[in-house]
Amino acid sequence: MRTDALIASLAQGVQPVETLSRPWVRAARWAGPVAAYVGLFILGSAPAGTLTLSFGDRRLVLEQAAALLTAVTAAAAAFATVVPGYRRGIVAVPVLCLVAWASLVAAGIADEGGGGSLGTLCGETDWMCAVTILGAALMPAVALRVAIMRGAPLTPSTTAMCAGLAAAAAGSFAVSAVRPVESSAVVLIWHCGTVLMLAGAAAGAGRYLLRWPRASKV
Amino acid sequence: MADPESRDARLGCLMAAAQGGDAEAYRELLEAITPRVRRWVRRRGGFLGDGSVEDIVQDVLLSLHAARATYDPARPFVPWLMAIVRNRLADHARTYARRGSRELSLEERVTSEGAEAKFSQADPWMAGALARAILVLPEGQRQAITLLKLQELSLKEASVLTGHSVGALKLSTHRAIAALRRALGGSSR
Repeated sequence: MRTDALIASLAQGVQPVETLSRPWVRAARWAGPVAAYVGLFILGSAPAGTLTLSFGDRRLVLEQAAALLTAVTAAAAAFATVVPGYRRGIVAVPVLCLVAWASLVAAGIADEGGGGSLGTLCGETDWMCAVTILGAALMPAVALRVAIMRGAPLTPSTTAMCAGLAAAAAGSFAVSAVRPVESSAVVLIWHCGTVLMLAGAAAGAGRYLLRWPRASKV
Repeated sequence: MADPESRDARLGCLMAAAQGGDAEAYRELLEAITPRVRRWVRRRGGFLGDGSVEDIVQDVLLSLHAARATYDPARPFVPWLMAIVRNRLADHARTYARRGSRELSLEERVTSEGAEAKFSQADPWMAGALARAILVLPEGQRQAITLLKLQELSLKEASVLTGHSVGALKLSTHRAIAALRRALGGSSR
């Protein structure tokens, strides 16, 4: 096809489009339904009486706040990366939040008497925790993908990494709220570790998960 | 002649109108940017050949069409467009490098590095071994060696095409050459 013919056909078929909102606005819109979903997940899964106990624990509240912050900033970064010419520095924000979250958990290991906790870290496995986080992260991940595909994922690995981080952090938040008795070492490995792994896996599969441009959009 | 800032503002206005469904504004915008996109593509991806340049230009126009909802009229238009051009160029360069490494025309592909005498037509078996060794390199190394050594692009050109820094490309090339040396060192007859 000649380029001038392509221009004519694109111009002829152009339809009005709704411009995308700012990434933070889009992240807030994503966070709304996800918050409702996480609430339902917590209410549906928490054993009676444990919720009051978990929200009374100051350290857990701080860790949960950091996980939440990681989720929201990662979602905003994912939305920012689907706008051509985005500022790359935005990707550092959720990474810093993740580091802060992991640092809080690591500080908890020290509070619990490092040695014992490290023993737990090496000896205890909690695959169920990882699987539950994965399950809890699915809905936020699907919602993010749908929203992301309204943009232009020119750097699919970066976008998918941010999206994976957001969904996994939201999943970890939900799971931590219903399983509040875990030691910090377990949280570090099986929560932060799972979140990192899911973000990495999403980055690896980004090119396939976020194929762009889709034929239907062109 | 309009200064670049007002020209950019004009393009931004046309894009905003196109987002509202104005076909005339959209046609004017596409016609205004096409020669510029063609120039950029030719400058940065000229080695791909004239046919490929026009393919990339059309790909950029299609991508712009698919991404038009992401343009924020409050921001400058040209950086937004440039990001799309860079991405499409990098994608085409990757495809080209992959195809190039799969369809190695060995006479063309053998590098002018010290190994040239060793891997020339005089020794087609070794040249075949080199082609196979390049194929199994990790993607980043294969891309670096293909662009820098086989296609003899400058570090700057390869950096623009791949989006990798000059330092990263140097490192990938160094590692690729080391890996090829190891692979070929063990396969000499």
